[in-house]
Amino acid sequence: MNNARESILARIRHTLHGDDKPYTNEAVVQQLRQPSCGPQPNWQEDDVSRFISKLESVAGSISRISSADEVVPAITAYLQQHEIPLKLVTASSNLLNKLAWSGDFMVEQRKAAGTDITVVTEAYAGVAETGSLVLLSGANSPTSLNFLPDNYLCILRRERLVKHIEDVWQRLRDEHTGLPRAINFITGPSRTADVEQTIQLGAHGPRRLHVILLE
Amino acid sequence: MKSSSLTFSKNAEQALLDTQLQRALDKVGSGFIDKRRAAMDALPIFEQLRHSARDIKEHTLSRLDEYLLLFEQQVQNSGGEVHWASTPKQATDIIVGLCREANAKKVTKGKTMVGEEVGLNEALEQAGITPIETDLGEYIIQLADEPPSHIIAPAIHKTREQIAALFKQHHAQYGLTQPLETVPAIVNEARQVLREEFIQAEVGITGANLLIAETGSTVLVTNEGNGDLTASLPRIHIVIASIEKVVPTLEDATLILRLLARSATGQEITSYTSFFTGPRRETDVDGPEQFHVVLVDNGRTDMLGDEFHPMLRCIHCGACLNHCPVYGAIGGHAYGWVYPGPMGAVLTPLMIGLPQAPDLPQASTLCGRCAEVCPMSIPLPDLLRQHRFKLTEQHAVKIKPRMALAGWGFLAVRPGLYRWAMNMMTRLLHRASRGRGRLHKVPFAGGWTQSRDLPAPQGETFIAAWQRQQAKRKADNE
Repeated sequence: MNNARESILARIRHTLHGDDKPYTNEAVVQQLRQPSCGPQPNWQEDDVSRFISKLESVAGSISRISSADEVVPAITAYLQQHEIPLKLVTASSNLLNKLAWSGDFMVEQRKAAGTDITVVTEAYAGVAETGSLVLLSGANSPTSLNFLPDNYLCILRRERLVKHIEDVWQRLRDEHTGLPRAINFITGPSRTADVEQTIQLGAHGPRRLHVILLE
Repeated sequence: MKSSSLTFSKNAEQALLDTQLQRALDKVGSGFIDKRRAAMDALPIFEQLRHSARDIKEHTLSRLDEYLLLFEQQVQNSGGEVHWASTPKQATDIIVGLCREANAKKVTKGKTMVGEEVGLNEALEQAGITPIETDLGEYIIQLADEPPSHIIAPAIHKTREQIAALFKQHHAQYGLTQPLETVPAIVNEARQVLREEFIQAEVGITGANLLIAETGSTVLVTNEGNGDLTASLPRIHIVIASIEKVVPTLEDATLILRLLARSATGQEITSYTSFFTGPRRETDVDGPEQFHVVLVDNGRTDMLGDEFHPMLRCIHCGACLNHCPVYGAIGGHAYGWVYPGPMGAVLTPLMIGLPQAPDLPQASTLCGRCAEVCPMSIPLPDLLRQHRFKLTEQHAVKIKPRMALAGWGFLAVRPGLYRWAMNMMTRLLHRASRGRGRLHKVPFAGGWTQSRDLPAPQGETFIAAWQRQQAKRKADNE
């Protein structure tokens, strides 16, 4: 163990306060108690339209449905359209657990493996500002599901769609004590431009991202 | 990392004559600039955001000790561990120690510039641990055994053909020998090779774009998803971050993120923006069992409160590189160390010492585009000038520029003589160009004309042309 911690703090204090005594300032506590939002982007259209246009601008796609019964048909249609086998790994949630998969499907609930082709999850929130999905790690929602498969399908309930990123923080503060290990904001499929600045989807994460919006 | 900043002039000369490099730089073109412009045009609140971002950073820096302690406490509260490093050696010792404790032979890495700064890969290799870069750009330059040439696009200097050749050479061991002609083929092969590494690695090391004091979270921004796989699959996640990355709250981080991706690539948000807080929880089914954050100083506490203090606001977006005419002409390697472009020309002398990089602050026309596009309002040209003052104080300016400046100074305070000399020079150069409007060779300016032409004057000075036109107008009016 080195004394780097003490020496770094002492140097900072010496510069800032002219001595190296520890300070705890009320201003810091205040800053944290009332986190202030800076300027936020605004838009004309309704939040769902904004979410969809942002999602599509980053090569994501969407199915809009109006009841939970339509989830399985929407997923089936998407998989058939892209000739993807009806073999899924899913997260767990009230909604996901109630889905009635037809006999053609092979469905497992577990964390992801490197060879999984298609995953279905349910988002904690969606953000209209950016077209992002928000996923929280947890017992029912392994983080590996978000990054290992080729095809990423995610169910978003309309009431979980918020305007700005900061609204997610507010929800988390209201609904959780402390943050989960991982909060992933996912905006479109994985991409890279590292070869001659040419955008290529599916660098290491999913090649396709499809949202099922349940309104 | 070893530096070759001392030979900047020679490096730059070689870069200008390197046809492969020039071809790669040509391909970059104005892509970054156009995309950033479009993103900013779509964001009317850019200037407001920029002011708020500067305020947030300045507020945090003014209480840096308290925010770092709060961050540490919150990491601990969520089950993680914080380590402090004043020097590069301390940082690499901590990380090598953690890897040894875990008995790790291979570690996956997300892109980390502070990792480059402290020479993390070299330290791991010396300890018998194989680091595997997983960001595609970093992976390419790791195969090529080169340092990054851009802080967000590390392999920007490589052409597709060069990358294909590297893959052919290094992937034969996996039985992958098919020729790679297209970008998708290259990306797919890297995906295939790295997938196994992600799954097998015992330790994952990533950087952090921001640290959040309120929650003890580290923020990671990527497009490929490699950072998240590195952070989530191995048993141990180590984050290496410099101390100035801390901000107070999630809201503050959000505001800065709005500027970061737009300034870097013109995206509103990257594909993946992740917040990591502690290790996996008891009921989690995946995620790392250990979470370590290594806080690195490496000279930053010296910058605090001095004339280079504004540089601590830097969020490493790369906009100043993308908009720099010098960077655009020579690429990143010529700068000789980790950080290239205007931000590198300011940081490198501070981190490796001005005598080790005396040319870098001079490698700028001070055109001001970098400061104009900087989302954190860092006055980069002023900071470069600060370095120049120091160089002059230390008598470290080379004899040729010193004599040239002395000569110019002599003329500048003698307007009559100055005009006469300019007049002569303008006519001479005009005549030498024989009406072609440019000069291939100019005496005493061989360095300048070696890789480009000097635009020739039109034959008279501005003052002479002005006087002539005024006289003509007067005559016409009469």
